[in-house]
Amino acid sequence: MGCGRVSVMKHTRVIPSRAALGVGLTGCSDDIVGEWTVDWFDGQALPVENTSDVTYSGYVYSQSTSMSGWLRVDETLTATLEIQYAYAYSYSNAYATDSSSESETYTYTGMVTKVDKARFQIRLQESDDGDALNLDCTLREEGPLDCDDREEGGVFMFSRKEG
Amino acid sequence: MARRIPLPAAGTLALGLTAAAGCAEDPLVGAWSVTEMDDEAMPYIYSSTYYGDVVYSASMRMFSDLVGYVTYSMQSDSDTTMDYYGQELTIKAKLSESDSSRAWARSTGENTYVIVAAGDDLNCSLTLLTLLSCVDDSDDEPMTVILKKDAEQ
Repeated sequence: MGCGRVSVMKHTRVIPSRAALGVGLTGCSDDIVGEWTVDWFDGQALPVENTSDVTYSGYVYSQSTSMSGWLRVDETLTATLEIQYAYAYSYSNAYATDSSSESETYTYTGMVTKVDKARFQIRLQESDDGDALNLDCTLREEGPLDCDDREEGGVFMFSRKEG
Repeated sequence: MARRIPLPAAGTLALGLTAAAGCAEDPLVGAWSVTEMDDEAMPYIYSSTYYGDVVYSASMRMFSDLVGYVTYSMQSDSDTTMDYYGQELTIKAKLSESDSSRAWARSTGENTYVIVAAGDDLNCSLTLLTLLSCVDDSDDEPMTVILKKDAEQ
């Protein structure tokens, strides 16, 4: 019997603790199910939190860039990967101020296919431009979900969210 | 008469020894920090006028199937005030960037490996299980890399 399936029991009386044990043994969920933090996205370490402030002769220039992401895999092995990117810039002196900012959320959705106990394929598609992300992943004993982009070859790494 | 009474302690010991022998992990498995690259000590610190000390470092992590990754990182955290053409210039900046790429290792003998990483083939030898000396001699000028195993967490 595969994981996630509950057997139909022939017995009319079920001892509760034994029933619970039966569900526990047969209804096991995949280790990949849950919330993951993106540690590497196409080789780039996340989160990114870069800031700079420059003050000179009454002028103040500031800029910041941030990027972070998460992956969620539910019990049906539906996967959602979200990457959040933000950039802000500001400039001011005694006479004028100016600022701009932009933020973007890239959402990839798709399915996980289990290859064997520790190997998975994650096929994702970005919601806006349809950009495909095909990841071959290994769930490492040490903890991380270690993936390669099958087409582009980049490294993707995820660690399980705490709590 | 043969002794039929099992000895629990001996049994446990035997199991432990079998498990230890059967699950012996390759000494390459784990986290490594690059301590030297081309005779330059790592992390390498570049003192920048505007961005303070910029720290460049490199590391490697190898998993039990001898597949892992190498990482190159740059970090700077500056809080600098200086005179610039008679005016005070203040720079506060926190910047960091890390890039990882896949690495594969293959054992070529006792404590020797070929590690393929970032397009380079490194011939490596392991000393005292914690020091890895590597050379890429495919170019006219060989590149040397020395890595030290990080303490287990």
